[in-house]
Amino acid sequence: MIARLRWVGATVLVAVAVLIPLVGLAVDSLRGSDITAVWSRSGVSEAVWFSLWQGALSTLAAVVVGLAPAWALSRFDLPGRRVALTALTIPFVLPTVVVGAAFLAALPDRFDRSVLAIVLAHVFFNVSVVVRTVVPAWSAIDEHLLDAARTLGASPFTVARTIVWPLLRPALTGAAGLVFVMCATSYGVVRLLGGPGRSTLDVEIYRRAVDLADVSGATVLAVAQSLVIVALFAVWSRSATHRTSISTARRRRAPIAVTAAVWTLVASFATVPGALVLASFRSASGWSTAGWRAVFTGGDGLRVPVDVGDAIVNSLVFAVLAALVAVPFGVALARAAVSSSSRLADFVASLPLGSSAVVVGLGIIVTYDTGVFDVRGEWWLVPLVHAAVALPFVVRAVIPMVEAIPPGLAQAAATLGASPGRRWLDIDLPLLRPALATASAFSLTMSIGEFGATSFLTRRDTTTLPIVVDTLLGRAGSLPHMTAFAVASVLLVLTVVAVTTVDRSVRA
Amino acid sequence: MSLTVRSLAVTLEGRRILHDVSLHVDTGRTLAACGPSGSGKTTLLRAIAGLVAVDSGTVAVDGVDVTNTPTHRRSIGLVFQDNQLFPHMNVARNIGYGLRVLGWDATRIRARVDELLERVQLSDRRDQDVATLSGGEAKRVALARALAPSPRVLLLDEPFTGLDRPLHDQLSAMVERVLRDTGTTAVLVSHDPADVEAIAQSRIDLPPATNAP
Amino acid sequence: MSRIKPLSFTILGALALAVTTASCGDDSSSTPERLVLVAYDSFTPPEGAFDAFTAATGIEVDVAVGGDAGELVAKAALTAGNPEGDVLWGVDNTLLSRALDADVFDAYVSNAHPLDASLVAAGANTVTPVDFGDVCVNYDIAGLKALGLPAPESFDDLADPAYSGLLVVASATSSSPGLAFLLATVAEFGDDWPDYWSRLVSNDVLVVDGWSDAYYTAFSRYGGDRPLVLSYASSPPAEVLFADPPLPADADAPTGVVTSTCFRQIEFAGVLRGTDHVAAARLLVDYLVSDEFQSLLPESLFVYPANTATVLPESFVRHAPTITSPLVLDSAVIAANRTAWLETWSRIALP
Repeated sequence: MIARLRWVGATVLVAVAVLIPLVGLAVDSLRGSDITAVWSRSGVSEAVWFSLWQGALSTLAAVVVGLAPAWALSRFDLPGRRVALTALTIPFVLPTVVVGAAFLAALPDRFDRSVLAIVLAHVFFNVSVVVRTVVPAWSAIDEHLLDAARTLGASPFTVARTIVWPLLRPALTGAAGLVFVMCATSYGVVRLLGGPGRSTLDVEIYRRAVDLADVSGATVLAVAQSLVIVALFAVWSRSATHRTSISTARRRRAPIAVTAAVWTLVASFATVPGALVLASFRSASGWSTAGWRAVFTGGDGLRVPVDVGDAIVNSLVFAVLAALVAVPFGVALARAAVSSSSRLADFVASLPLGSSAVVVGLGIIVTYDTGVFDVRGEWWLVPLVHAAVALPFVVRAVIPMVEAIPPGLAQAAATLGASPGRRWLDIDLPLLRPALATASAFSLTMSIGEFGATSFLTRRDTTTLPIVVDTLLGRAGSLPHMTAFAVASVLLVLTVVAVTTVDRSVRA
Repeated sequence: MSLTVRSLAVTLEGRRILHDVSLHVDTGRTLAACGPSGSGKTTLLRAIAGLVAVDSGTVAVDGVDVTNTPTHRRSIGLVFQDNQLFPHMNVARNIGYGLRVLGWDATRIRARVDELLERVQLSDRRDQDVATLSGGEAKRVALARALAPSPRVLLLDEPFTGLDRPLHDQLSAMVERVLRDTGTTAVLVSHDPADVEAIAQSRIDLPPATNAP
Repeated sequence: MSRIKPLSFTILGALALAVTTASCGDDSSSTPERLVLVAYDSFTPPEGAFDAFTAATGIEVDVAVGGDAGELVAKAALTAGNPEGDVLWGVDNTLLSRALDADVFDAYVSNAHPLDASLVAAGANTVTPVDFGDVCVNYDIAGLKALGLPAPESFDDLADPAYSGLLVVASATSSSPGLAFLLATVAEFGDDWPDYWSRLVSNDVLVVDGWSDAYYTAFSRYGGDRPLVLSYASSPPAEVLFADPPLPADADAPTGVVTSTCFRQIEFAGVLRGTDHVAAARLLVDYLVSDEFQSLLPESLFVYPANTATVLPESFVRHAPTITSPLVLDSAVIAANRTAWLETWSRIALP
């Protein structure tokens, strides 16, 4: 009963935060205009094509790069396993504007502002999706199953092809689908690292709405994009999953080569945040701690108007609120999706993914603008939107684990007299723990690092860390530059803390 | 296909599990390996199959040393204690797995699978989802699957655990009959003397576990 | 029946009164407690900037920010008549016509303080100019010195092979200063501006997404390899003010400005149409152009005050060039041609 209520909760969240604004904006801006006109305007078809092929390429790269560490982290008891998992999740949260600068500095000039730079950045951001989604699923594949195949004559490659791959496919295709959508609708990375000549559809939507005063055109594109993505997820066969036992086999110790390889990858990922932290100490004329001093003194006397304390508090509060909403709603939605194979659940869970932040933002101010519903400028819109943005990820992270819970366990508990609520608490929840850790980590980090929607919504006195970073990078001078990177480092630290805390408490 | 194991020593995670174990099984005969729990019976089977590395000693099939041959080339089958049926395949596809790996064509595979289903009396379960099988049925599928590629040696790890007595006896008799009819060389791990009596012609006893490294 | 009638009339009357007073938009009889000033994210006046206003009028000012100038105007255009605030700060001359077309403002031009006439004239009798900034090519003094080159002095210099591969600009399609630079070339070269850009492209100009990218990643002062960057006339004083370690009082700015390339960007503030507090909003606009508020602008927003009586701070006097004849274009002309210009420009300048 309670579960059903929360299913409704997720639907209401997505309706209020995304669907109604979209519809509201469509009604408002499409009145009397020609829906087909925008498709022939310059730049649009190129943007669609670029979104598709670049998205596919980036997805392929992210999956290939992410599979190896996912395998190592699932099958072995790697020294520093949890640290490695955390480290690979961090990129997801970093604001694009800051990562962009680090990337441009790290890449050889030839590749600056190219498709390669875009793909690399996408891999960097999205490997965490692959790893975090695949590891729980891969860990659930019993080692002995693979042994059985080997005794039947299957070479390691055949074992991978005939046993591991089919069992991993749901999680892997889920992760790939998610990564594809993220890359195809990518905004900041494409703008910054692709240079001004390259646009995905999201970039084009923004251009039309803001730069070209073509709100109706932007709305048409945004609605089309949302519809396509929702359809994609609905049609995407969540292939019939097979109840494997939750493997409780202890992991083997990792061979040295594997450990070395994983840690090399982690180290290479760490160069980006490393460059970030380094930049916070570098002024135009040498090294300095002035940026950090500005952070800790709130900019007093240094004339840099930055209330970092405020921004930290806001970012954290918003993140916790967003997670408190997104995780339970997402879990309930995941359970509904699995047990009823309902299409509505897929729709609800995927709508926020394909929605352009600027269109949703415009929709909010146009729709919620009368009388008691005039909530424009209210601070709580921000965590609400964050929760909606995080919801798809929570659902995707939790579904594979929900599917893997053997029904027999719950039935056993029932025969022992446990009520549905008790069964949920004692059986399902502990088994879902790893997925809940992932879901909470995603939710928190996405909120902490969210920029697009947050910056677009009009806010009174509610600034967040990514916005502070962006504002500082918009000013000339060594001090704002260093301070921006110092604040970005603070953001980085907060993410690490959030993710590790969640991991630890859920594993306790 | 005789099996000879000489002075096998296996260490797992710092603990010496097997220490100087030797055994021999003649072609078509079954050997029972007995011992209290913790004596390394499962490890012995896994070592013979090549699933764990040995510290020292040799495993030879028909006189040929296979100690350094990878598992998938040893042609040594293993019926796991918990069956380990592939959840994404039905009964027929589970049984036919080893044959597909060998590259047999579909007709041959179908014929062989039918033959084995007949032997373990599961002909009417051909297309069933393995998750819905009872304990006894799953065991029979595991046995059929292991036998399908005609392994040179078959290892059975506590094959009748958790079954009620009548079913246990029924399966025990079936296993004995199948092994005899197919002339398979086998090693059976069991702590149940009735199984040893019914199926094996010889036995070894593994010493209880020591805490010595 | 006769007893109910008077009672029901009284109730109806009371309701009618309540409804009319509640929906009454005219505030000439009441002063609001707070006004909302809508601005862009980087609007960061120092603490207490509005204290004098509150002290004089008893009205608090809430600053509501969201996005950059372009996003601000897009939102205002969509909410015209039912705005998110009372006063808007930050519509500039390249965006003004969009706001005017959408009828965003309740016309009011403040005359409470002395303002530069040319700036006021650009406000279409609807909005009040609050500041201006000049978008110009900046150069890294040390960077040029290392290359043994003198500072460029004109547009033609920028297209000269001697300066090949040394200029980075932000894209006109995605950046406000980038657009300003395009408009500067239109103002300078008239219909021949596409030829100029072709020359720039052959001279290996780098076009990036935004100002931040250009200034902090490609500009030689911050580790890039191009000593010429599109920025603002107020960037040299910022470099001095925000230098680390702090520069001595008599030091020169590390960057300079190519004054002949400057395009004037004017920012306006206006009363939003549909606000419940028109009179109070006008008072706020008056305050925004008062010397008290205007004197805060140069060192917090790095713009020049519109108020002619406001004295520039030392940093600007010393390090910011006085641009006597910047390039300008009429806001209506910009509006009429902008899309076409951007398309032509994209074809030439973007890969």
